[in-house]
Amino acid sequence: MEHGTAALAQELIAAWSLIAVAFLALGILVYIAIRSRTRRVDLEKAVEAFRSLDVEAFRNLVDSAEEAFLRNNLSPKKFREIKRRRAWAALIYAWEAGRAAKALAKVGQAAQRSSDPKVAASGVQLSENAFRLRLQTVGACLHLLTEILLPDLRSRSLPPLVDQYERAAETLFRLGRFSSSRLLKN
Amino acid sequence: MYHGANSFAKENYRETTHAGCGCTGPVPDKRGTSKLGRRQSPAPWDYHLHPPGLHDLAVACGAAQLKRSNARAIVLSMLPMNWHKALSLFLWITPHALLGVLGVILCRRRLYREFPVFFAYVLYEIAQFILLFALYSVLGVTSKPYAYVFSATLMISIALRFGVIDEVSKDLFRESQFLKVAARRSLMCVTGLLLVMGVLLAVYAPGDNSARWYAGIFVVNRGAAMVQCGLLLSLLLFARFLGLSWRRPAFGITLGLGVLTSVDLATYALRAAFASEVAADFSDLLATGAYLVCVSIWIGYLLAPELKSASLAVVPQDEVETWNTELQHLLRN
Repeated sequence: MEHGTAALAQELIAAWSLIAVAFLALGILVYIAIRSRTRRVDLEKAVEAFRSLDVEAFRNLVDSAEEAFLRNNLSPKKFREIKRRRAWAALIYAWEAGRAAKALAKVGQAAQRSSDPKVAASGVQLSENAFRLRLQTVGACLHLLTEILLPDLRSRSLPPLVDQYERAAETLFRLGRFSSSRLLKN
Repeated sequence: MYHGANSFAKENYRETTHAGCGCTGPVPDKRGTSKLGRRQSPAPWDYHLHPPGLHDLAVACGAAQLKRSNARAIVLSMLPMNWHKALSLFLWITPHALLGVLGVILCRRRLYREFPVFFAYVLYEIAQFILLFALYSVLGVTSKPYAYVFSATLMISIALRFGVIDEVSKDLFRESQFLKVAARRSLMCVTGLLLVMGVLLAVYAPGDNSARWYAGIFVVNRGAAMVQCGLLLSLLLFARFLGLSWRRPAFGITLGLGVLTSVDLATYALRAAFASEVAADFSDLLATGAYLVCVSIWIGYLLAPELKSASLAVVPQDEVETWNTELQHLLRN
């Protein structure tokens, strides 16, 4: 009898969970459908995203020497607190880099549809690289999230990651500066 | 789509309505007298949705009965039944008629070249409807042949829908060599994960513990709806995350199928949770209504002209090339 009741309760929970999941999926679909109506490539927004990246600040946040100094001079509790804050700030930078890459991908795809074959070819390459960059930022964000959750953990793969993101931030910053000067001229 | 799946799985299951994406006929009815001596009832529409027209109803009720009771009350009580039947018929026939229109649009706009699997799926759905409708008309839903054809066509329909999802994903990643590999690999991982979830769901919440083959079909169909819904949602979210631009037909197909599979998932769950006739009626109408919405979305998106992409006047050629060079430099390092 009890076993039957438990089985029934289990089925009911599963059923209601599925209903919730299904309606959540439906809500997301409707949201995406509504948002897809406004498909515009905003170049200025992309430039703004690039310009928002402060390379020096990002470099400082992910600097391993800086982290070692903090580890040696702060109490473990204080270090964890500071490390979390730094990782959180770096995460925001990485996220912004990802958004910039997304904007760049859109510009690249718009260029792909150009009637000029040269522009179209450049657009293909531009969007390809932007997609790569976007996916790389995901990896970085996950890494930084791990640091936030486990501040004492010393990640071996962090140095190449830091290098990569320093380069990414620098490039994006240069791109933004270049683009904004072009826009001002125009 | 297989609608009324849970009812199908029940011992004394009831009539269900007729539309959907996978298998679009009424669920086979086993309420008639069987060799096992189970209680049987007439064909679905004779059960609580009488044959068409009040005239037939009056005949069925009999003149003597009409004399004994208040005629007006009887007629009023029959009206909702006819309304339900009319709605059921409407929701079964209309989407398939619209699928015919969709087929014509696909031909006229030569989209069958770009979406051959989807075109095959549309034709298959129409053929399936004709077959099931003919079988229903001749044999009724209580016949065994109807049940077998229903199940077989449902399985083919599920397989075709996976083909359609594969087709739209290829279309989405068509312009990027990198994404063709990376994104499709990610999608395969998502598929694997969803399959595991589907199997776990089948094991821990079967919805019907009987060992009948139609109960198995219900579980397979519910699992397929979950996997397909998850895949379509992943595609849409992935495209949004990467800033990928959809072509209108592919987006429409994905959106329509997504709406359909998500509502199907909800209706299967509703059926599992509530075995009452009212709940079954409600979920039937919900599912068949979703199919109509789905076909309307497909037609709307396939008829609509492609959105004009952003003007490249704001992206000078040398600027694009410089950005490209800078990014290549970044990725090489």
